[in-house]
Amino acid sequence: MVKDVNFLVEDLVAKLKRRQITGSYTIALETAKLLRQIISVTRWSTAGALIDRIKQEGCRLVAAQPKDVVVANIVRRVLHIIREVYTENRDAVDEDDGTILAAAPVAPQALLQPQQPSFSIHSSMFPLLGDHADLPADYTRPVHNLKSEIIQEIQEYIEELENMYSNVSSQAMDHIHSNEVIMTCGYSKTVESFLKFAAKKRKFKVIVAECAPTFQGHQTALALTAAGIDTTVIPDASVFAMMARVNKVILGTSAILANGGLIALSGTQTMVEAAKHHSIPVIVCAGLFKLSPVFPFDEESLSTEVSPDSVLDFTKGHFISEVEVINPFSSYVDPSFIDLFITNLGGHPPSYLYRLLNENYDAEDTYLLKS
Amino acid sequence: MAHEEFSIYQSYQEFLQSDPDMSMPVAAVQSLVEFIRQSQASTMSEFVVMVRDAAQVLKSSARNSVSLAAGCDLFMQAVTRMADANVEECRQNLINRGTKFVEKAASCRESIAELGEPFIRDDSTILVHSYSRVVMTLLLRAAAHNRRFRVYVTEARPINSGYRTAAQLRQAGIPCTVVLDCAVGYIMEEVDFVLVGAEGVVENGGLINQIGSYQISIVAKAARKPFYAVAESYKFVRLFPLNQFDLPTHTAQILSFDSPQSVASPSPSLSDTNSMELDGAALDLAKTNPEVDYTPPSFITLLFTDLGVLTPSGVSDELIKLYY
Amino acid sequence: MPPKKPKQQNIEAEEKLSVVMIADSFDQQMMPLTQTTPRCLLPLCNVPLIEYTFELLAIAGIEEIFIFCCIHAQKIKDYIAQSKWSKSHSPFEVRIIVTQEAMSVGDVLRELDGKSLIRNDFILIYGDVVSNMNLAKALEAHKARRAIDKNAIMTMVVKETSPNHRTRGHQEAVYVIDDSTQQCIHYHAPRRGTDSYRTVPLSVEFFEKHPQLQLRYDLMDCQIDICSVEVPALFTENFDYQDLRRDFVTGILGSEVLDSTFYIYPIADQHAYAARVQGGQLYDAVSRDVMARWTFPLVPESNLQEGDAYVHKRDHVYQEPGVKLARTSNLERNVVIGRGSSVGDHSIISNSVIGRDCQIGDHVTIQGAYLLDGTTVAAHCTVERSILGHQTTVHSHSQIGKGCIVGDGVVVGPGIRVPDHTRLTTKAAAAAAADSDWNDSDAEDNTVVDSSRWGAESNAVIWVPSDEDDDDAEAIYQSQVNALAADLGQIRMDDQDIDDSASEASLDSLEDMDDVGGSGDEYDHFGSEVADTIDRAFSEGHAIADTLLELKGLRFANNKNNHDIRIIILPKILDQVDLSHLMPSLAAAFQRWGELIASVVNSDQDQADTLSIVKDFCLVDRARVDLFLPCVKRLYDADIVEEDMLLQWHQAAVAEKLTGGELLLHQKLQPLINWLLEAEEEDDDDSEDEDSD
Repeated sequence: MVKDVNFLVEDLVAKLKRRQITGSYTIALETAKLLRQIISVTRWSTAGALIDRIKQEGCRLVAAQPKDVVVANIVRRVLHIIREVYTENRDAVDEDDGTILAAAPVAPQALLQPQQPSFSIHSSMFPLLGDHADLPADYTRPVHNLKSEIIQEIQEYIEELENMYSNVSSQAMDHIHSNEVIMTCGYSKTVESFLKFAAKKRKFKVIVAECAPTFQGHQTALALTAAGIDTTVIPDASVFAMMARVNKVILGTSAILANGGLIALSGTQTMVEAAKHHSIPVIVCAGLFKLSPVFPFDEESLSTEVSPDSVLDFTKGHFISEVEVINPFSSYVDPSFIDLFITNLGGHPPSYLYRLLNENYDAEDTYLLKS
Repeated sequence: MAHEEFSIYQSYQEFLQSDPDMSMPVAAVQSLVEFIRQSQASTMSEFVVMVRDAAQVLKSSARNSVSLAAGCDLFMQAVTRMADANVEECRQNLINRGTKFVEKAASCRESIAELGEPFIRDDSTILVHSYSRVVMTLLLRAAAHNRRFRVYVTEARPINSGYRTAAQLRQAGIPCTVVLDCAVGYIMEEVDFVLVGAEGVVENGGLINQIGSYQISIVAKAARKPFYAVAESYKFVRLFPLNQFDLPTHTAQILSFDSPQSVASPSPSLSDTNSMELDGAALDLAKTNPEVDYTPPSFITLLFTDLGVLTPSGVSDELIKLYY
Repeated sequence: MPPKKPKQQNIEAEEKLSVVMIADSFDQQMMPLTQTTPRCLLPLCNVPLIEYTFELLAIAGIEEIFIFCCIHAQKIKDYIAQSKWSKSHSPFEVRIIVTQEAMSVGDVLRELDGKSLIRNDFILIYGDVVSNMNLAKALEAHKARRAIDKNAIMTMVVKETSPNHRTRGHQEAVYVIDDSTQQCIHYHAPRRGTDSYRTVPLSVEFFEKHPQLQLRYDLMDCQIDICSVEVPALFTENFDYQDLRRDFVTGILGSEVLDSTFYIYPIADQHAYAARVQGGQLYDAVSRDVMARWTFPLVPESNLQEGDAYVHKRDHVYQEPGVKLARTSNLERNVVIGRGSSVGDHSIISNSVIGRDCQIGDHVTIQGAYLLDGTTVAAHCTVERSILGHQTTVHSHSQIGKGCIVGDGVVVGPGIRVPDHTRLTTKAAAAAAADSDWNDSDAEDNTVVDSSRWGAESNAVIWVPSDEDDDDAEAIYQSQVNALAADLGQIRMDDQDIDDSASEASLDSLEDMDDVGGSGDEYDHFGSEVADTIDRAFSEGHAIADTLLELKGLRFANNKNNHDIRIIILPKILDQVDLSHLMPSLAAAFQRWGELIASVVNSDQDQADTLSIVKDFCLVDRARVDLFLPCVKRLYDADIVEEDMLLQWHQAAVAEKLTGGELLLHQKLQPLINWLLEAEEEDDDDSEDEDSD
């Protein structure tokens, strides 16, 4: 079935806009699959052309839901994979030819430089004095088997995504100990699987803040109780009071920003503030695909406000014309409140995130919409 | 030898004065290029020693050598990397590179401004310390893109460079108020974030900057306001200061305690000061006071550099890439 | 995870899901903006209304849309041709059907039936509905019902609100609903000033069939209906049905012959939003709802239109990149502002939508206003709760009062105050409208009058409604309450005082508005037709039944009510009476026409109204004074006017201080009153004094 790429992209764009697909995991998977299809269906001759194409389609996807960082992350990741595969294969070709890169006498230290492109923005000053001049810009050489290798790499990435939950939750034993009291809020599939995994061997208690007005906490409580975990639901207002008896706070998030800040369900900030006051460690569980290289330059713009309907009933006629109702679904959480991130690659402190970023994305893709 | 007539420090000063937009590391590189151009070393090792000496002269002749040193170090790094080539080739190469570097240095600020611009939200209030070219570039760019913001500038005694910042911002139509250095705590609650330039960025992600930056960062942290530093990547220096006295600019004279006997003339009191005396006193103070201070990384929210926006912890990685 | 919003539900693909969209408003509520743009293409929060509707349908998984266009068909065609909905990736197929001659929903549905385009149940919707509901669920509910009840021909989507909700507008329908099945047993939306305006007649049968009934006055009609194929056919059968609700639903429900049933689908359970932009007041309300994000995810920063790039900021300010805001300008809250617009120093904007490329000068206050693309508002102007069309210009120091609608391209000012509720259009547009076939009469006379009234550089004239439409009290009433800045707030305040009977109170206070607009000279056209009918009946001796049918036809065709008929035919009939031979000729007239009168008088109000008409008739000429008593007596004898009503009417009139002719007439009436009172006292004691004030 070869459908028009344009059709597929528009279809996903429309679904994102209409919020017909929700949940960062689903969105990530859909995006990755779509990009894989674009790579396999479209014609391209060089890696450079492919990169341009992916960027172009990626921009359309990102523009559909600019606040949702996951789509952009997947696009960046795929771009990174393309570059990586290209660089590896090209180097292999180079060695076969016995030629050394670029203009040989000028760049002896280019060989000293780490081969993968650094997380540095386009015109770094270093190359000028330290020099490996225009190396990364060249993606025009034809490389044998590039397409199949790229597709295979992306396939592996998709598998990585699919195994994300189990990879995160398998670390649960290291973090949850017997008879501990864990607090969480809202609903996160990652946290749910994390807690359930731990519950296989350990006995512990979970306190869930219900998170009005979405009441996602109820969903969590239901799922955990079904798995036989001792679960308590509390109203959001008593988070602070209950925090004193808690050993750990384990949270999910929609996105992790480059500085370690979160975009998470509203109510998360309250919980981590309470945890900080009581010096309770805060752990955030999330798949690596949620890590975004974007910094929170406008914290307000990161929160998504949804219909006030769940806060104030629309039937309250004259009242709603007099009063302003704001219902933020998610909001920014400062990195200073978070002690540990658990991703599918393991546990990392917030200060380590920049390195994960370097390994997963290319700096030139950070601002997709601008380029 | 010809190069002995060539005064590297003088050349450096000339470059700085000829172009007000030129920053110290760039001027350092340029004067070193000029030095190489005039040097006549025959062997490579001689060449390297000569350049190193010149750099040393340059570093030691300036009082505040931090960012100057960054330029020198960067240049020396390039020199040592070419140690195995022959002299003439190396010289030519370095001259080319150095010239290119100087050319590109200006665009560096532009790219920082581009990266930092989104952080300047519409309708925000910014506290700026002293005068920094790169901070100015960033602010003017944001204003040109119809971003509306207000700026508090610290006076930055004793050099009073805050007035220069204020004048330039006002010229661009940006509302601006100069505040006393000691009023930072007072206005902090009004401020959305703090923006400072840098003389140098050290290996742990800390900052060396115009005196006063450190205390502003402490106030900002206490008030939970973001503290952003803006720096070109050529200001990254290989230093790891552990405290203020660890800085290369620190000398024994700075803030040393007077012996009680030496206080022959009483320091001017508020009642009998006139402006002349105050100037003299201020000059005295400037002599015995530090010009720069060190801001530890824990007080810095983010650094805007031409390498991208970095967390302080990201700086060391970039430095490693640069020097190893 | 973003919130879960309507998820796509794959409806069984066995039959194509079709939608009939009517892209014409059939009214003049948004005139003169709709002179140049069809209502469905008017931007709401800078997105054409039809985009919202399309989005709703796309989410519902619709496969095929028939769009019926009447006026501005070409514009709608062009718009759709360049939109994403006609591209290959469009989720549905759009078919445009032009029916220039259709003047109502009824006409369109008859056309639909004639073309037999539809074989399955379909969704009937308008091109100006804004909703984030899950239509698929409503469809399922409808289908499930159809499986049980083959007679369920229509499901009406409604949203629970409060009676005075801003978004409910002034729909006055009362739904009588079976508590358990959501069947709509009776739909009561009388025209103003007519029969049973304030009472909902409930047949005993209702209670026999349905153990529990709800009378709902709080339902907002979303104007989304799921119809079975029978619906267009029924319209064909009843060729005089025009309006979907008033004529069709009421008619079919009232029919003895048909067993067809109607249901409602309340969307409150979905936490969804749905409203149709029916007029200025609703345009305002829906815009504000969109800005307040009730329609999430259909909010400005969803950028429904390709190329839009709105960003949501604090206090519900939605801004596109490329907006120039002067340093001291202030977008307070609930503002949408499009690319290329600029706002000058010290200007304050709140609760407003600014289109693209609008220039707003210094010291301008814009409050609750809607500025379409390319509008210029110069320095020191104030615009309040108004709509300014595309490319309009307001020169400096001008004020646009509340509720104004300013047509495309109008120039106003400088230094002009446009009074509240003014509708302005350009001279050119007015002339063009006068030329067009559906407004042929005397518009021209009205338009040329004021030349420099709206400022030195102005090209504006007051827009005059075309007289085919807005003539009857109902339409005028509608245009008033639907006017952009109708002081609903005021009315609501009044209601709150009377708390429990809020709905009743709202009717009361609106009645006053009715009086303002209900009188006067706008009866001409219809009036002359009715008069002609009566004259012909007199001269050619038609049978009562024929005359009645003819009058009924006229009434429907012109959207009139019985009052309009009465006010013409009663004087006509009384004119027949030869004053010199009063009694015999009066008797003859009543003999001949009494039945006709009786057939246009139903409710209590009608009776009072009849008496007033007779009184007014007798007041005109001194010679007619003697006619009054006998005439009233005749009305009483013929059971057209009941005893209680007569007494009430009289007492109410006497209670006020009467003078001159009126006093005389009531004095004349006194014998009859006395006689009636005596008779009554003998009968029983407590039949009066119910709502004498």
